Amino acid sequence: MFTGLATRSLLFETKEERNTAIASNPSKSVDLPKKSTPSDFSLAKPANTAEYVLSTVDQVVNWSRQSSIWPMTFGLACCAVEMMHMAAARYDQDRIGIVFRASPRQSDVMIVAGTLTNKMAPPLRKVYDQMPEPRWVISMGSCANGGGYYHYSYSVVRGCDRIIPVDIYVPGCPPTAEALMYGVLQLQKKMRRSRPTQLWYRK
Amino acid sequence: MVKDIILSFFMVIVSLLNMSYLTRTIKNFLIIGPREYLRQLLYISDTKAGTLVGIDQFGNKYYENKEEFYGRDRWVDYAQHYGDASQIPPEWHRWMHKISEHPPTIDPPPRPKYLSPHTENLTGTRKAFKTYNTTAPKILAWEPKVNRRE
Repeated sequence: MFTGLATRSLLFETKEERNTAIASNPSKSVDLPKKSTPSDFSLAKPANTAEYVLSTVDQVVNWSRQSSIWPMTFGLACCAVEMMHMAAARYDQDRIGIVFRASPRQSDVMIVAGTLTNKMAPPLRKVYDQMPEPRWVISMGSCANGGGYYHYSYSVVRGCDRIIPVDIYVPGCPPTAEALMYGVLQLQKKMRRSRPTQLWYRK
Repeated sequence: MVKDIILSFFMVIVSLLNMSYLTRTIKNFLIIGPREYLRQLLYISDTKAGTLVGIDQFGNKYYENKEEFYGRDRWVDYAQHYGDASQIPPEWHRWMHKISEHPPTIDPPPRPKYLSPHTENLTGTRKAFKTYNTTAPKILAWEPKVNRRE
C-alpha cells in the first residue's frame, strides 16, 4: 500500500499538467460546486407543522420498509437464474436486507422474473392478490416487461403489467444481477418517496 | 533457502491478514479509526482502508487498495447521503470498472465539446425524462359524438 502511495505521488508530479477540471488531485483542496440533489426536485414538500412532524414519521416508516425487503420470487424462466445470482455471494442481497420469502402472505415485493405465459397469468394474479399491502412489483427482463422475444407467440402475455401493476421495469434479456440490484435500489428510492401518514392527514 | 522459507511463511501470514477475516477488519479499524469505522458501517457495511485516488466534480471520493481481492479493490465514497451508482461520472466509471488502469487524474479520457454535463438518474423527481413528439400526428383520433337520449 505504501509503495503504491509513493509511485502514485510520483505519477502525479510528472503528469500534473494533464490534470483537468474533470478530476482533481487529492493532495490539493478542491472547490466543489453547490451540490444539487434529486430531493431539490422532489414532488412534494411539507407545508405546515403537522406535515413536518408526519414527514419524519414517514421517513421512519419508509426506512423500515426499504431496509427489509422480502421479495416473493416469481421465477418463471432464465431471468430467475440471474435473480439467484443476486442472492448469491457476489452481489449478496442480504447486505441490504433482502431475503427471499417463498410465501406471498409475508412478502413485500414480487419479482416477476421471466416469460409470463397465458397459462401462468391467473396464478400470477392470484399470488399478487394474496400479498398484503403495501406491495410492490419488479418486472424483470424483456419478457416480463413486454413479451420480449415471445411477443408474437400465441401463448404469451405481452407484459406482466397487463395482469398486475408494476413499479420497476428492469430491462435486459436477461438483466444482469447488477441490473436487478440497481432496480431494487430504485425501488428503495421509490419507497423513500412514499408519504403514508401525510396522505392520511390530508384526508 | 532458510530465508526463502521464512519469507514465504511471512507472505502467507500477510495474505491471511488481508483476506476477508476478522483480522482484516481489525487491521482496517486501526488504520481508519472509530469515527470512520462507524461511518463506513452505516454506508458500506464493511471496514475498508485505502489510498484516496481522486475526488470528482460532485465530491465523490474514490479509493483503492490493491491488497483487497479483485472486485473489492476499488470503491467509491458518495458525497450524497443516498449514494447511487449513476452519480459516478463516466470518466470515473471507466476507472471503477477496470476499463482503464489509471484514474482520470492521471489518464484523462478525451472530452469532446458536444458532451453534455453528467447528471444522475433523476427518475421519480420533477426532472425525470418524459418522452415527447415533435412530428405531426399521422392519424386523426376519432372524437365520438353521442346523441342525447330523449
